[in-house]
Amino acid sequence: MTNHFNQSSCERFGPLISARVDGELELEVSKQLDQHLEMCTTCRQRMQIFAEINELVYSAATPDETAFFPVKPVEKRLAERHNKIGKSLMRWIPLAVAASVLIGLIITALPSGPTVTAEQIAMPLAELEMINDEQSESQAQMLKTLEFELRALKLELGSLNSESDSEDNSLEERKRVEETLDRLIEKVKQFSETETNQDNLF
Amino acid sequence: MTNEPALHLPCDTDASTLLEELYRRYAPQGTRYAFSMLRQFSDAEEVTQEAFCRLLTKSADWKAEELESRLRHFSPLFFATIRNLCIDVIRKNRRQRQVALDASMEPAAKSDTDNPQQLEAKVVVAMGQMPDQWADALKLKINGQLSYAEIAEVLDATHAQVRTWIYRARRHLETELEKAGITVGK
Repeated sequence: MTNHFNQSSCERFGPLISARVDGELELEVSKQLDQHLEMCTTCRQRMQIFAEINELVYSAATPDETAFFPVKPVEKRLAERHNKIGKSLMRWIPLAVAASVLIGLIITALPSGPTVTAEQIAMPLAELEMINDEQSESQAQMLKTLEFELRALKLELGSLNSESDSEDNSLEERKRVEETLDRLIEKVKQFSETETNQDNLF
Repeated sequence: MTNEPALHLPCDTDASTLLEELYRRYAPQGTRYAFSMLRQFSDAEEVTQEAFCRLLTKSADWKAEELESRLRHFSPLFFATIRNLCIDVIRKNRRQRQVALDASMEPAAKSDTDNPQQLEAKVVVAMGQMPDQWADALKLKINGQLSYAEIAEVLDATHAQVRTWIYRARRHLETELEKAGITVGK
């Protein structure tokens, strides 16, 4: 079939051909284009060229046969995002536990009775008893503070459990930390009670 | 190209579940579009995932009444985010990219055009030589599989502009490939 159209008239149909290749042409215009394509070999050829260009552009954006587009990694990334805040806090928990244990050990290692210096020996007995009372009081206060701190830590851990995702590993880890904290609280409590009993004996 | 089945999920599905479903649907096109811009698969993958994560984070701030319309227009939002992230990556790696492009722009022997990789390289170079809007529109159409209306939303343009840009991009490619001795469609 011969081409009855000049170049300028074909140029007019160019954008329509391009839109047709993309399946974006309105029905009315599509009919007009069909009429033109029936008679114009240049435009039919152009449509073929455009379709082939599509394939070229598409294959140019394909890395290679082996690298396919994975969907799974994003799930991992999302899980990481979900746990990000929780995990950053979780990182501090072992440190906080270690610090609490250390404080506990220092306190338990301290002599339970009041320490008396050479100057104090020379002091009258009444004054010495006053110092003794003050020291015991501050020690008991310290123990109370430690107990409260541990309880606060446990509460924080509890809120973490309810906020973040329930991954098996992190749950186990949290449970373990929780048990350690329970043990510590119990120890401090026992120590506190013994102290009070000793005080009562005097 | 975008005749995807409608998304049917229970009414009480939360935003994050819905977004994840949308991601599964659009991730391959998104990665392909990002790859067409960055030419580095790992970067493309990274950018697509980052775009999704950003939308997911943002969705927490969306009000219930705007959630539906936002998710209905997910693809323009997703591709616009990918595009912005790609532009950031390109800016960061501009020098490296320039070197790579210069190397691939060296004239190849005619027999090289039989090699599909060489042919793809020519397409990439020709795409790089055209105005950004033309290339973007064509990439969003072919690789992102978006409709003209969606592309117009991503590129902040009119429907007619998108149609013209895509046509010009195709004509440019046709001319450049012809210059390189590659005949298409014959």
